[in-house]
Amino acid sequence: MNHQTLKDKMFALYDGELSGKELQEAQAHLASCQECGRAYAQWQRTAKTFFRVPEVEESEAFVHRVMERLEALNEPKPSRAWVTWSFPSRWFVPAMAVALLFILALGGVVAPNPSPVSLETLLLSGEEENVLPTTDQLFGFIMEDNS
Amino acid sequence: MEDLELIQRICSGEREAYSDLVRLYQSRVLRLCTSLLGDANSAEDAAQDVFLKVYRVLPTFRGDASFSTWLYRIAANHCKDLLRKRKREKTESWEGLLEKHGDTIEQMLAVKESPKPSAGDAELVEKVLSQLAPDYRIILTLREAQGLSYQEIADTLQCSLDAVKARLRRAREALQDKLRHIYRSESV
Repeated sequence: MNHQTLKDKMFALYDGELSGKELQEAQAHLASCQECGRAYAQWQRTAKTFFRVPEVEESEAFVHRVMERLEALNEPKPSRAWVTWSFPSRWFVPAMAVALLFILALGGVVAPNPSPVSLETLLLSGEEENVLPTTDQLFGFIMEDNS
Repeated sequence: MEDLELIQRICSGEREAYSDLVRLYQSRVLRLCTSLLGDANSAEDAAQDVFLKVYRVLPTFRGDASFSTWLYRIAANHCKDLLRKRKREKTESWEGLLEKHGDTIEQMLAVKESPKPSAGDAELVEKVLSQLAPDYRIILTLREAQGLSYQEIADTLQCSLDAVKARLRRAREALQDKLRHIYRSESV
């Protein structure tokens, strides 16, 4: 086994994942190669330094705290009823906004156009002088159009 | 008592049975949270949150994996969220940390059989590990500190064995890469 092969398999060796011939070859190389031996020992020390098993003590106090919090979660809060009445659901505000937009859009489509004169007529009438037509001119156009 | 029996009692409304479940698994959850979050206070809060979450979703436990694996998954995911939040707030750069504490880290790594670490050492370890991506820290912790097998890690993280091996390798290389300056000065 050479450097590169051991480098590839170093963590598998460390995790005890190698077996048989592969394991023997890796161990033999590790014993004879100073560089690989150092790299392996380096990881061992790194893992030991940074990943210690923390000391934890079992306690009834912890169990009580969890159970207390569970109890507290089930208690009805006085403000809850008001909040529920004011905002029946989190979809309330967006739903109302969508409904309002829909009503406005519908209003735009079905509402009758109050002007009997088309926009094109209005614009063309002021084209020559590049000014908007006067009320009298507009009235004249409308009368002509109707006749 | 079997986990499943206990879970059935809890799901049928026997809330007191839940305290038995908490009692049974508190040290495992606390140990994982402490390993992942570093300090005891955050770990205690996180472990409590985990047990509250577990209580709420207990009816969804189908028994595909063992209860402890399922519990570990919830705990690991909860801690991952907390680590991500911390990471967003983190200000100290790796270079800055190395400049300030490089010598101490080197000394810590040089000791072959170290006794219980001091509070300062533990804080420094936390600072170093907080430089890793949360996913890397979790997989390394599950393997190195919790001693889970590849298969157990795969079940906990819900990924394939190959993914565990690849991620574990990348995580180890990332940590080694961070420490390469220290390794280099060590070998001189």
